[in-house]
Amino acid sequence: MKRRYLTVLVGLCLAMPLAMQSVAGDSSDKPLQGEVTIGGKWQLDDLDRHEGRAKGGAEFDSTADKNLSWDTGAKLDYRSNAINFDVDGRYKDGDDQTYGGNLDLNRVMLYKTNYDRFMHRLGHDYMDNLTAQIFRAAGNPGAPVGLPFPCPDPNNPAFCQALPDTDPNTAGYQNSRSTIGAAAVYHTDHDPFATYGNTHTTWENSLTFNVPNFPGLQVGFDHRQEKRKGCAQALTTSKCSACHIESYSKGINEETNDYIPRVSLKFEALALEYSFLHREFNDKSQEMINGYNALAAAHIAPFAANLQFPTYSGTTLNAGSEILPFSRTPDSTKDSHTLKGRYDIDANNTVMAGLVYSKSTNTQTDGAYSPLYGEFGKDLELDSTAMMAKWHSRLSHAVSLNLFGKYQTMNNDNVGIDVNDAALHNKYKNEPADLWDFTRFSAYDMDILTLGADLSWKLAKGITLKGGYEYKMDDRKNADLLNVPETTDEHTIKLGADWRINRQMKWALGYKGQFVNHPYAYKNAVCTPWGSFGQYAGPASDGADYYRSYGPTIYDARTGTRSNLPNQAHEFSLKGNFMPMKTLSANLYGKYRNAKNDDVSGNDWQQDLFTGGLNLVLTPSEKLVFTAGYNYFYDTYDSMYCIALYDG
Amino acid sequence: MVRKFIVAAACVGLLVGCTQAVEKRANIVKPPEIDPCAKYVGNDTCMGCHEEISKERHNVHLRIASFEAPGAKAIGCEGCHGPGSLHVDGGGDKTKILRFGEEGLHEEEVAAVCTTCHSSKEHLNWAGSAHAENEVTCTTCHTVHKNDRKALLAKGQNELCGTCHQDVMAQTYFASHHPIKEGKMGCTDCHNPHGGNNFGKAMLKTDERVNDLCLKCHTRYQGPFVFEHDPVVEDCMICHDPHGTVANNLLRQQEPFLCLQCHEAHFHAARASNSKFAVTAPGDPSSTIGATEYGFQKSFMTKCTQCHPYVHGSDLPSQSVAGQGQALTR
Repeated sequence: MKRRYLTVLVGLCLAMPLAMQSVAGDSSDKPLQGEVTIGGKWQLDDLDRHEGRAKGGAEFDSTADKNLSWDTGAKLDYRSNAINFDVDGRYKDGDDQTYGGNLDLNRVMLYKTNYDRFMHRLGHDYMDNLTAQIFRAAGNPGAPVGLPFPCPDPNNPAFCQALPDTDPNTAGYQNSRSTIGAAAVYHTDHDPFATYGNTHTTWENSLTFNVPNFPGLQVGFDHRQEKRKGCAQALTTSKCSACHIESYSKGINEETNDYIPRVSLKFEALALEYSFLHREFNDKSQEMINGYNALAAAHIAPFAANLQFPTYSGTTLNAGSEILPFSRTPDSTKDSHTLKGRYDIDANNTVMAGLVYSKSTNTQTDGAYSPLYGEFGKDLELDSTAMMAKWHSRLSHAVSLNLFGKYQTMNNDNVGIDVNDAALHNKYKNEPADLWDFTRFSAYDMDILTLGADLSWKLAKGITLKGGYEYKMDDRKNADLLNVPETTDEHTIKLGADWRINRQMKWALGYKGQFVNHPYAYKNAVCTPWGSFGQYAGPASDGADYYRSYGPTIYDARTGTRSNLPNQAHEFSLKGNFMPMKTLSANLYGKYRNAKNDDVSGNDWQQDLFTGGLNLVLTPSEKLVFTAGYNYFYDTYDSMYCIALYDG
Repeated sequence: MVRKFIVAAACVGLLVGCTQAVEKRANIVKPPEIDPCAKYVGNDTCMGCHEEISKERHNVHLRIASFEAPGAKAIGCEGCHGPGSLHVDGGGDKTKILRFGEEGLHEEEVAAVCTTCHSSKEHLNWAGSAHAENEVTCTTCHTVHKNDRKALLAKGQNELCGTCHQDVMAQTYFASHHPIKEGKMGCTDCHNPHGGNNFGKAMLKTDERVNDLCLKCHTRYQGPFVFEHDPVVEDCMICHDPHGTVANNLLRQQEPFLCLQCHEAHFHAARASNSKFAVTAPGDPSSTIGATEYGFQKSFMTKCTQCHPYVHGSDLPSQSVAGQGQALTR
């Protein structure tokens, strides 16, 4: 969407010192001081007022709709021996405000707060592109004869009659195996003129107490609240038999609160910290529902208006109660314990270590409506334990060494999924009702190990050489079930050189190489073997659960592995900084990355990236900065496009 | 041949470096000292000549209490600049005091002074951090005197980080970006320039995985969900580049190409066509699909998330039955 502004900045930047006791003379030693800033913007929006599509430059600009907007700011600070405080604020628009403050009571109690609000414009997907899916198959291979196909211009039957070879409403055409639209995707936008956007509000508070009688001891409490309110587009899709996307406007009202009590202690060479995080995420957004069979029954006869999973009101199937919830974000919590420490062994050696245990909980899986029949009444929980350590040593005047390691293990609950096709299973006398039920094993069940070393060597004055090696191993417990590699070993090598020619000029060269055994990939993702089309005559489709036929013959028959991650990557970088004078700086950079994965099936996956640029910054005064730059970015990927040639 | 050269050069480098281990560097972690004869004279003496410093309202260093700096030998001016008696006796001899400007302390020595107090919380992992090892020291980013910016930053945060990370800063100007250039986010929302919390890549501000960092703001994707999308669990970066992209939603590539790197295109999303007739959705006459002669080409405009909008996970089983409810359409 192209959008063009003619913007005129109104040069009203007035900084007005508000020395509360005197406006004359040097006010820097007055206890209370303040400043007010006023600015503004006048713009002509001369092209398009359709804001629903206006992302891009206006994505975070709440005043993009206004021709005139003001930007006002204020600061106030108070200084005394025992009490000090600062407050500042900036108001641009109801959806663009920032406030902050600090309070210092004799350095014993320190309080800091920040409030910020901004608008995020969201796009409205009109789904115009869905015309891409229309087809007129030759009929063989193809689905059964499709829908009655109306003449596009019923008031002008001559139009269709003039095209006897293509008018599918003619008997001759239909008899010649016309197949139209059986697999096309329809859409209905229930609010086509809506404009979407959210307002993000963040409020952060931090309270710290220093204990004068116990130097080095700090007790504190942090709180962070984030709200997201507005309206967003919510999409959902019927079952494939109808291929129907429906779009609604959804009122968004989400709130996250983080509560973090903490304590820290510094005692000579030792520093210890413990903090506990309790996070609550609550979604009070509009509860969305959709009738999923609105089109199914009207569609091709074999696809009956059946639902595979329980309806909103219970487990009724095929009783006209096909209203189901969608776009529901579950409330969740996270509790996390973090213990960290640092110890300076001597002037040249420091060790740091940390231990983190967290539990994330989906608190709505035990609700009244739940597909979790296998786990009914139980929250879904993810446990994670991470431990890490690092040793930093100055081996010599010129050489420093870092050794570090981290181990994290995660475990998520399994979930029993009840594929509730009980009403249909009688059609298959030999099938038990729970034939298609399954247990969902989680991708979270994994262990991650990272080990590494960095070496820095100051070769000569102004010249530093750097090298690093990192090993990372991902061990996925449910790899076979999820069709991903069980173990991924990643070796990363980093080399670099800095050359500070003088105080004005510095160059840096870098190389990073990644070598990965079994990079993360989707196994059995694409491509049924050649000729498997002939096996399509699997179990008969029942119109409700055609996983019976698609599962074994199509999806489960795929053999190809694909990925968008490399098993080998090389990255070269060059950076230069030049500062001929304090007010002028120039920098130049370039980066080239070549990545490849030849572990995938079919064509190799490849990435070629080049980015480079030149930037100039002129700072004639503290309040005035001129910048100019040119940046170039080129990123291209080669991948294999796989499409199964079969008909729904 | 090249590999042999690199290995040989690395071995020689390591050997030469290690031979210098005999000469231990002194007082790197601990701050440097002035002449041992120097004595502390107190702030009032300093202010006798440096009166303008006393008027710095935003310099918290002038107000800190002794119990906040248990490892320091003094607070106030001499807490950072060292005992000032020789400096005073020398009539303001700059060589008799610790200085932090261009002619002053080495980068590591500057950090050693600052970490006397700033050694916990976000500074806990400073030693050996990427910035510490690249001669980026405290005064590279912070200007303590004559500065009224928050956190005593030398410049605005974006400008400051962009001095070295130009490539990243350029990305923040792409069509899809976090609100960084709008001033609603800063680099330090995700990165800890004083040393990554978990010692890993990119100095990230998380003790766990990068996903946990994203979930701090994008908490609605925290779940855990009943129906997962495996790469979402694996790593947000598989699909997203948080610094900015050309594709919408910070995706590394436009849909459907991003998805099609791992997935097969559906039959109904990529079908050639030369139909001259529009198709009307049964039961919904308002919904039609226009005829096109470019069906296959236009299939590249398919957005997978139109049918699968809940790619980050959902508790609701999809009614698209092929897939046992796992299609993330609800």
